[in-house]
Amino acid sequence: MTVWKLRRQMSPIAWLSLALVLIALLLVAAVGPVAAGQTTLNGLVGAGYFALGAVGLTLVYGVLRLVNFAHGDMLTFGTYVALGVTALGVPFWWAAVVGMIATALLAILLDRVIWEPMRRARTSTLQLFLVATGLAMVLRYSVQFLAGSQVRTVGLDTTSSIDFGPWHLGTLQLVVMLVGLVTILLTGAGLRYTRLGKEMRAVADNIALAEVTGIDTGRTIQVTWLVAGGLAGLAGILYAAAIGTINPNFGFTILLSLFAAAVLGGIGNAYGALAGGVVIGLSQEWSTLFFNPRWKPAIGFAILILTLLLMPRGIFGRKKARP
Amino acid sequence: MSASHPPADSILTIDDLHKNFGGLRAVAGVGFSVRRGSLTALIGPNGAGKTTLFDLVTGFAKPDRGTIRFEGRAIAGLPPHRVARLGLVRTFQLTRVFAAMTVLENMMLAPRGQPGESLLHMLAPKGSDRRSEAAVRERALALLQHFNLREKSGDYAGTLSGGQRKLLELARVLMTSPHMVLLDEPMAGVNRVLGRRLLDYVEELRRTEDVTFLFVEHDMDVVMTRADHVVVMAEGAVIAADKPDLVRINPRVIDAYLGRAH
Amino acid sequence: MSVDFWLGVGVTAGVYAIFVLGLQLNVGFTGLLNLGQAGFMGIGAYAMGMLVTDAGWSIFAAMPAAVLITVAAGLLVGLSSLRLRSDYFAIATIAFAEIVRYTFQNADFAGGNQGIIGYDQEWRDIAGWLLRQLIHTGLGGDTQLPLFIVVWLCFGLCLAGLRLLQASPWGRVLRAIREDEEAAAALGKNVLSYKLQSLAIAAALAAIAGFFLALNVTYLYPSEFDPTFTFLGYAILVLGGFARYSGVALGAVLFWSVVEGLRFLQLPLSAGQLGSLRFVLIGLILIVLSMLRPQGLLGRKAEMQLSR
Repeated sequence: MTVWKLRRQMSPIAWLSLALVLIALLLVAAVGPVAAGQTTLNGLVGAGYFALGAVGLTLVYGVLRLVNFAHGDMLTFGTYVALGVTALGVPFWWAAVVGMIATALLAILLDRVIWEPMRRARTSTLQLFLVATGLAMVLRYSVQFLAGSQVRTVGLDTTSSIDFGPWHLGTLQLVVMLVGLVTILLTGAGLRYTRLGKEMRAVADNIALAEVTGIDTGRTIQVTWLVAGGLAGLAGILYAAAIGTINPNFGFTILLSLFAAAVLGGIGNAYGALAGGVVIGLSQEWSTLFFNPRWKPAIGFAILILTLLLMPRGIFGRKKARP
Repeated sequence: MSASHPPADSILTIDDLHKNFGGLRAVAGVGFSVRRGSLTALIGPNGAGKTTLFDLVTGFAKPDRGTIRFEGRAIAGLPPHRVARLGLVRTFQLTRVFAAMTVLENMMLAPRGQPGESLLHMLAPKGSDRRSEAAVRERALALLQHFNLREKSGDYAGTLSGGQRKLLELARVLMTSPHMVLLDEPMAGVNRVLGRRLLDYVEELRRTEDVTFLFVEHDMDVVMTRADHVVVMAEGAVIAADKPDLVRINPRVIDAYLGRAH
Repeated sequence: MSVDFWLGVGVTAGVYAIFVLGLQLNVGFTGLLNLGQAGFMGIGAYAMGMLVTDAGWSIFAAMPAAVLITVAAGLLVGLSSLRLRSDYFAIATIAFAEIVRYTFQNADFAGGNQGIIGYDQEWRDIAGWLLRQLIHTGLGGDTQLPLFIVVWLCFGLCLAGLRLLQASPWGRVLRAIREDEEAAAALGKNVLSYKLQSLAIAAALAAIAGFFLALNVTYLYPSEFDPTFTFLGYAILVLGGFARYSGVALGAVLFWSVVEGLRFLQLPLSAGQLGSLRFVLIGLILIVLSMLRPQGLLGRKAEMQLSR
């Protein structure tokens, strides 16, 4: 099939972009530019938090071979810390920074106390899963214990919006989209051009080889957790700002969509997670053109299952998915 | 070396086999035959592709090109359990015993076609099943006796020493009533006395049950005294396949080994 | 501290015990990290409920049919996902379970968030009859008693069956696969087939647990069958120990006795906070046990060899 031959010759990001543009054009043809454009805009808002949430998940997997089932609840943690700080009168976006830092520090603490001892004991996948599940419960229900299980509003201006011709976007959502996309680009650039970024990618690719070439893998692991935690916090905050309301379960609820983004991009590959997040964000919104919006999250699950069945290595991945 | 006209009594025929891993050509055009009932040694420097060849023959890897015929059937690309069911079994370079199961359980697991292993059969059990299980048990204990492992039959296999594990792996594989056995370095880590017993038993099996053995070995004494045919591999290809005495003086073989010494 | 309350706890423990028998088979004896067990339970319960309320079947016909449907789902999940690496397989099973829950929550045929109600009339008749017999024989007249007895009787039967299976050559192959599936394949065992069978049986057990859950709560709603149910099942599995069916009952009873017993602690906390605290404690116990005594309370250390 010539399509496959073409795909093999192009870089993954090129053909992914091409595929997305083609789909967008098809949508324009099917439902008209207004609906297609609107859902694309909405999708780009979601792209931010899905991508940033997925990057942390995939980096931790790549560097530590750990499927962190507690990652979603780190989004929750960071967001609630931010909300708590705003209650003290701090402006939202400063509180967001505090939330990010808190989550990054939590990630390092947890590594020191829980993950590092388990690494040394070389535990099995099952044990790691059990500990991650327990940790997820502790985080989620601690938040719920302290903040209550009710739905909370973020306390920002969710009513004003901006019009671009026939399309419109809430001002807050526009901010979320811009912050999200800029952070995606910065993260991608950081991974590509900074020494730390290169070390993280090297360790994720082959830890033994990385050590031999003189990379301080211990420090790389710490940096990975800092970045994963910080981005998780930001992702949660962006989600809260975009949706407007949260409850202590929201991080766990979107965890599977984050997995979908990470697996789609090729688990362990940070660029892949960023791209995967964009795909998930767009797909969810595009699906509302054809299905009832309540099925949105199911799109993420469906993409996850399809990826695992048809393309387990993901778009960018080179890792073996089958033994 | 192509084996396009295999001798009539060959049990395993490999023809023009190729396997690449990324850019590495692990097996590059291997072809040879193994005569039924023979004790054939597969030798060569490290990295020659011997274990990869074993993997290809037993279904643990898929060849890129080439054919493998076992007892006349094409088996290249079949999954490992299908190959084993045809009577072609192997041991591993790093022993793989079931550590959290007892030695006896390791053994009783092995025979093919046990009725109690099928779930459907379990729903309608017959009296003969218990007898079959008892017979397997007896065979297992007798075989363990041969390998000096009978006293350990109730111990977890994980508590065995390295040499004992090698013996258990061999004993286990023999429980499958194989037609041909691929042994990957069977003597490594086994003391001389026990090793000699092992080889004696192997030769006896050859005579009485017509089992064919192809083994990878580095101990040249063993190879020269016991093997009746030797296949030499280097850098993914077969460079000689002949009687031991002739292989020993083959200049290409000498070159391959001496060349490695640098 | 009424008897009826503790019988209720016993019923919950019994439901979880049957559920966890399936997990034990998968995890403890086959090395499969099945995280979608709650999905199978949901399919079983809903299939039964819908066959009774929508198709008018008798519950005695609906139950076996629902088990078959759930087993078919198990085979479907297995055929598509068992070839994946173990952590990918785990993720695939969660994805499957969430799709199931989502479908029940949003699809009209399943009643959506309203759930399904009214399938338990035949059971109530039986329970009533059983209760009268129990009162006759002086064993007490608590309304929860019939269900309690039936659940644990069923657990006993399932336990006996699994024990028999495990002691057989079939069970031996399963353990070998758990240890080292390549070595098992090299001995001629069809690893995929055995894993499918293990998953199918676990699905059937989940369905049975689902029936009892449905009868206990008397109306089915989708949020019952969420990943938390599976995670609590794993907590029980860890508590009772791996590769030991006897540990499952102990784990379930211990777990629910403690969790429900915490209600009676006089703490200056609201009900909501108490609820959250329970889960925080469960999480902490899970972490501590998994780190320090991974084989569980009754498990043997040597058996803690699970596929990576």
